[in-house]
Amino acid sequence: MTVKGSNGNNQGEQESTHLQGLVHSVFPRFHIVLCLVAIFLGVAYIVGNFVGWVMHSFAHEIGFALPSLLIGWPFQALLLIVIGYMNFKVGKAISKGEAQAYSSSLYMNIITVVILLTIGPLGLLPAIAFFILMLALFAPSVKSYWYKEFREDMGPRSKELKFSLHLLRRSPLVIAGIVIVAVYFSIALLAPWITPYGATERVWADAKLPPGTPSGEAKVSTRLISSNYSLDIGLYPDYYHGEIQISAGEVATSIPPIIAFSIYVRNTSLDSPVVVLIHTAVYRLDLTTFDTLDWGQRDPYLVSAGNKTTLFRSNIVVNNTPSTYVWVVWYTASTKTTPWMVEMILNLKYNQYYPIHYWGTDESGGDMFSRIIWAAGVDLRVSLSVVFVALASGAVIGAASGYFGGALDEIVMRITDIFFAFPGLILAMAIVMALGTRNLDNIAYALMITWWPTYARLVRGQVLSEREKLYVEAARSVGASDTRILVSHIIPNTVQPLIVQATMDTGGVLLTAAGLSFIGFGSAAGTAEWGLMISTGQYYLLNYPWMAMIPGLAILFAALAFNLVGDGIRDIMDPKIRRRG
Amino acid sequence: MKLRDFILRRIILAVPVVFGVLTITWFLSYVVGNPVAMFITERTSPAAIPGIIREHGFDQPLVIQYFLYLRSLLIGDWGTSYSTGGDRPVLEIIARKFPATIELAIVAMIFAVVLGIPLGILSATRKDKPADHVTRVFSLAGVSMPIFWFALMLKYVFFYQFSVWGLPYLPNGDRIDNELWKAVLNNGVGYDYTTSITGFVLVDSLLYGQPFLFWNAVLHLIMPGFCLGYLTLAIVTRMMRSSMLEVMKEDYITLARSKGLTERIVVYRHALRNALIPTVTVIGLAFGGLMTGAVLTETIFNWPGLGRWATGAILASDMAAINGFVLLVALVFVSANLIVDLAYGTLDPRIRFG
Repeated sequence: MTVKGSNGNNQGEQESTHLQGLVHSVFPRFHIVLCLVAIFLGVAYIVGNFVGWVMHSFAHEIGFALPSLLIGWPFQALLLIVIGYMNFKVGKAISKGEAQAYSSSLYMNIITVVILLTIGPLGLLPAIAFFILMLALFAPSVKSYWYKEFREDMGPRSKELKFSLHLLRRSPLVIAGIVIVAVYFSIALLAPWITPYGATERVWADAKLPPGTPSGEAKVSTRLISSNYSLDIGLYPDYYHGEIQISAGEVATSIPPIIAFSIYVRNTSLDSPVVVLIHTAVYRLDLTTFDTLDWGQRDPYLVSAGNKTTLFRSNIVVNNTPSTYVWVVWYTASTKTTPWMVEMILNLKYNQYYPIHYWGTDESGGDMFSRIIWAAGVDLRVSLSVVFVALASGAVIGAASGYFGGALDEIVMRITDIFFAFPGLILAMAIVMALGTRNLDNIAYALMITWWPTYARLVRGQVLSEREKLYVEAARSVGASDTRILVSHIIPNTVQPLIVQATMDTGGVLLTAAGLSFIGFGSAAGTAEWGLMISTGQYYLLNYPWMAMIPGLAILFAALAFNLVGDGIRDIMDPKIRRRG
Repeated sequence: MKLRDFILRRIILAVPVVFGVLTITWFLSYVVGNPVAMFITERTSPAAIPGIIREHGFDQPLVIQYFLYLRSLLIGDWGTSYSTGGDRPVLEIIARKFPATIELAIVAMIFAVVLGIPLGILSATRKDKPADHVTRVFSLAGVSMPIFWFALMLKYVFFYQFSVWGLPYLPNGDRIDNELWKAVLNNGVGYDYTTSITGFVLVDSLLYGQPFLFWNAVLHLIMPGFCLGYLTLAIVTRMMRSSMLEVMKEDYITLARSKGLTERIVVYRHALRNALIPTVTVIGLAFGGLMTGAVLTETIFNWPGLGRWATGAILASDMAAINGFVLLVALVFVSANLIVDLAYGTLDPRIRFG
């Protein structure tokens, strides 16, 4: 066994050194390129954003630019510079032939790609370039060496993972939570495709309809068939005509398509009136016998344009089958002494249907179902961004505070004490009030400021207990730097309670944000947002209870799902409960 | 460490927190926001504004402004609130409205403790039985419940639908039926700060010797009290369950069982006392949640306390009122935490010596 094992290792080593040589010859000084690219992007990002910020501040009030300055780009730019520096170090390690450098470098570049993607559309190009370079460099090494090492490393971990999944399968509540969360995220992402109405779209005639009522106004898709414009038309009869093909996709509903003619007759001189006779028709031509089938026409109609523009409308219903029609508009002036003109717009109105308001409508005819689904995106974005920023900043502050201790720790802990002296919603309330503008962004900023101490405390406590453990001592004794110990040894061990806390807080932030929105800090009336919808619905509670009831259920289930998942993860990952049976 | 030293240390530790709280409210309303707005009401003439700026020192450097702010807080000048009709000093309004909020919070706390602790015990002693699952879902729902929505739904069912079905229904809002108060006591004003003795309607009705009014007040308290207490109830239940489960694994419980004590005595005499300690802390910390909830609950139940006043102030952009409210809540929260800390130290000697 031992001989075999050592043989295998030797082989692996040889292979990997060979590969390193190969990689090195193909990409000489590759790490320097990576490092320069990342630093260049970071610096460009800082400069660009600073210029943008200065311009923005001169054009507007400083209060709007400030929050994005504080939390946005410096964070990303710093990360990019750090990644550049680390790439440099890792690259050096690779060229020296240290095998484990592969894996750290791989992680690093994955993070780089993610960061680049957060920059926006422009970040996509460098991200793709990075990704390709990464694959080119690391795929061979992963295959030959790293994967094997990884398998061996991950042996106990994958066993634990399997056990976790086994525990997960046995707890139906957690699975229910995960499913609900997944459903919420997918409906938030798919909102444009699954909602019949837009987020702020209203059908005034449908106001206050109970759940399940079909709309009184049909939804219809429109396609422009033709538009014509003729100036100073003579005395003689004239006509427009053309063909229209109705495809199978345009007869998907039970209501047949309509060919809608809108004809404007305009009297271009003010001298005397003009009276125009208009006749519209649609038919299908049987190409074997040249018979006209499905003849639909609007009788000749006199349009009188005194000294203005007059609109003549004609809607002709055609068969609900895909086929080709011929349309004709024939017109002439019956009395004419002045120049006149005709403008014609011809539309196909297809796929008409009466959408059902599954969850009723609100007081101004907004479809509750659509609005709640649109609001899912809005509310989830708020709570996720709050939790993400609070987690990131709180974890960094807490880790530093716990690891370095001393005066820093004391100061940070006193500051968190002060923040904990305010109930969350009330501090957030004061912050939004101070920021001046009432909208969801300011709610999010306020909640970020309110929420970070939770994570700082949590991470600090974890770091304090991990710091004294033997493995940290071991790492320090082989000369690992503080940063390395903190980043690659301590923080991974504090992740689990952080995940639990973050999951549960996503629900908590959702509730608090909705509460703030309910008492009037949210967006302008009419925005699709759950708290605001309940706030409006409360005035119609007695007669139209669904207006307040359904958005509340949406919040309840979302928060419940996050809590279930957080609870479940804690139970599954907690080593004390884990093996109990 | 002696108990006295412990108490002193805790109180001294609370001082910087109070200062921090003052600094943050000052920073938010005087540095980020516009401080002059706190002293301007609808009836202030534009010509008087420079005078206000001078009088309150807003033309001074920030450091001096900070000390002026601390001074004005100390001498009881918390600004003028105009959102309650008539310009009134913030401190006076707080004094009038505080008892209503406290009364509601106490009732909510009673709901939470009286229901939460037995439910937690039930859940722990019947772990993984149907009773446990029901309790867990009930408490999870409490943690995930948007309180303002819950209040609306309670009102819809127990006020509106019950009256539609012809059942005895709970009142819609307010602290007490004012017409009833007028009719019974024959004083024409109804219940407000002029006719109240202590500010607590339950106590006042008894002091007036009117059990009928007392019952009416109790009916008015049920819905808002339960609504406000549900979150705390959920937290207490969960905490009680987990600490009970923790305690039941201890050696002394095994010992008690092996001595042949009945399960009832083991649970209530041995386990419960030790399991209560973490729950007490949670109850103290839940006080902040109650203040938060009061803002939302009072608005919906038309409860004339601080929360409704604050909501009205927000809608009217009444800076002085909001600033005063935030400050007050923070101070109350700090003192509640301090009291819990002290109680905790008294209950559990390990904390004191640790």
